[in-house]
Parts: sequence; C-alpha cells; structure tokens
Amino acid sequence: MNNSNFTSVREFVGETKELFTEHVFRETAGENISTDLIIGFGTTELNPFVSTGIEQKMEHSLTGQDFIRGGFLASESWTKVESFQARIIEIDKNIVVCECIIDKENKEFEIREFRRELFNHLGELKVNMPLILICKERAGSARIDIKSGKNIVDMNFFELKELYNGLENSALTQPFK
Amino acid sequence: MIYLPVHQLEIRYSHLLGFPNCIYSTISPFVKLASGIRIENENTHNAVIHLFFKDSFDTISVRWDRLIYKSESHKQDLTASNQFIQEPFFNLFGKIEETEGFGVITNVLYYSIFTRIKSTSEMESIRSDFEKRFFLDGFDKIIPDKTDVGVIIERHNPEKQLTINIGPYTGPQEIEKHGRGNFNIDDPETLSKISSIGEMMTLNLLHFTNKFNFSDFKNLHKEALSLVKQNWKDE
Repeated sequence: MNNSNFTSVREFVGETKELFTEHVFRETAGENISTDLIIGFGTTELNPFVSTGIEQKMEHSLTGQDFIRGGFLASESWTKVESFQARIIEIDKNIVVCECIIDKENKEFEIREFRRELFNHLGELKVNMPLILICKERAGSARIDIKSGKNIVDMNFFELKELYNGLENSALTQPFK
Repeated sequence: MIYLPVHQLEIRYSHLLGFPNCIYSTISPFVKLASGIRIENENTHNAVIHLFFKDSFDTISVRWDRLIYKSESHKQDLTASNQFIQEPFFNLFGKIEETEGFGVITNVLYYSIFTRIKSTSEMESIRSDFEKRFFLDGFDKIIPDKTDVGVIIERHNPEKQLTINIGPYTGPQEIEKHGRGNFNIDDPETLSKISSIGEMMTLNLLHFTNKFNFSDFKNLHKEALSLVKQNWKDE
C-alpha cells in the first residue's frame, strides 16, 4: 500500500483512532494481521496514539524498529512441539535444575539443567515451583519457552515418584519368599 | 504419502449448568500457554471459550456440553508422549472433570481427514481407478458430467458409530468442502505436503462411553489408522 492509497484509507475510516481500534481487534481475535495494515500504520503518524510516558515511547520505538521497518514473522511454524510438566529441584547462581515428566503413563522422569536467565521473568524462584516447558523444533532451529505451571502441573506425580524412590530398596519391592 | 492435515476430538459431557462462570477459574491457568483467546456469547450458557495455539496450529474450545480439540496441521505422531493432545488438552480435561458441577461423559467424537498424495498420477486416472475399484458398470450413466464421486461406509452398534467417506482428492479445497468450512489450514509446511492430488478418507467415529482418557484416545487413533491402512493397503 503506498502513501496515496493510505490517504484514501484514512479518509475512508475517518478518525485514525478507528484504524487503531481495528488493529487491536485483529490481534485479540488471534487472526493474522494484514501486512497492508502494518505498512499503512508505518506511513501514518503514530504520535496521536503514544503519550509522553517513557514506557510508551520505548514501545513505540520497538514497534517502529522491529515491525514496521524490520518486518516480522506473523506466526512461526514448528515441526515438533512438546510440553513437559516440571518442577524446580535446585537453584544455583547460574543454573536451575528441573525435574521433568518425560512420560506420564510410564512415570518416566528426567533431570534437566537450564541457564538461570531463562527464569528471570518468573520472579522469585523456589524449590518445588511448578513449571511448563514448551520445546519447539524444526529443521535448523529450536526454542524453549518456560512458563509458570501454577494450577496446571499435577504435583502429585512428583510426590508419587518420591514415595516410590523411598521404597526402592525396601523389602516391599521384593517378591515374597 | 499419507497425511492427517486436520483432526478434531470432542469429549462430550452432561451440561455444566453454571457455565461459563463455573469454568473460568479452571481455564484461566491455561490461558498463559495460549497465543490467543476468544469468547463467543459471553456470559450465556451458549458461551464458547476458544484458546488458540498458533505455534502448533491447535485450538481448544470449551462449551457447556463439550471440550473440543482441533488440529489444523499434519503432526508426525499425534499420540506421542507430551504432544499437544496430552499436554495441555487432556490435562485441562482432567481439571474440568474435577470441577464440582461436572456430571458424566456422554460420548466422544473422533473426526479425521486423511489424505494420500499421489503427485505423480493424473487426476483423471485417480478418478477412473477409484470408480473401477468401488462401482459397478452403469454408475457412470447416473450423472454423465459428474465433478466428484465418493463412497460412504457406515457401521452402527451400541458402543460405536463409524462413518467413513472415501473419494478422490483434488487439493486443500476438498478439506474445506468436506470439513464444512470448519478447518482452515494456515501451516505452510502442511499446505506444501497436501497441495497435490490423490485420495482422501474422512473418518467420523462416535464412541459411547462414560470414561475417556489419553490412553483411550490412543486406542481410538490406532483403530482409525488401521482402517486407513486397510483402505490404502499398497501404501
């Protein structure tokens, strides 16, 4: 969409505020944002939407750099997406150790270590904190998203494992003689 | 090659009378995992809460009488451990089952559209092979200039109702047509796999049960795959 086209769109929608409302609606509806709209957004003045607050200015700058001038991926496609329930079992200065449920049905667990920076968005970390680890893969690329597992992760799974570990060498796990 | 570009699973249960207010606190923790949310008919018993997961092209929809999983991309192994269907879909269903107002599961609908791509064949030869395989002489005369053919096979018994629709496949528009506009494939990788010609098989399996979990789903999917293999033996 070029400038002259955009001018006609502005005339069509009237107040630019309406164009902004349309943009927000499209995002919340989970639909792809039209490229035309994004480019059009770049050619109009964003100042009316951005107040003088420093956070909003930063956001304006980010929008300008990353989306309008730089282009962006509307939705990424992954060939494999797996979600693991996990809990924190150890917190080090640089490393966070997690216990992950690899196979719920067969009660398989694995210990994985991650750099602490990956957990900074979760606030204060505590041992036993539930997590959801989302691992995405495709040819040439991989990504891990770490999210809070509060009210999602079933902590009973871990407790059952601890109970079983406690019995591992006991006579109860041996056949009757 | 056989692909499963679209799949839908519906776990249907007795009506949740306090819906949607009774379910918000159960669903809320899962919202942070989703890339988008939409609520239709908010604050009425007909409310539908959609959770969109754009990264994997999956959707979970919650209604007062069913929980729906919709996949709009081909997945290598739908039933592998920690795949979307197990986490978060069955996890969420487990939480809904635990809510105070939950009654009983009434039935489960398994719906899949399988495609077998034969990119080296001509469409006309696929159509005529299909007609030779399934129809006797004289079928051609019913509608001479027909644009599509298909076969519906049904089997009903007290536990299960199975409907299979088999026919030639001319491209992704067939999925829109047979899926009644319910599916919209945006995944470029899936589109590149199925943007050719071949055969398709729509499988609709209604299972009357009052118990359903991830291993029951694995059994349903296994049953569906065995029907697919039986139809396309040479694959």
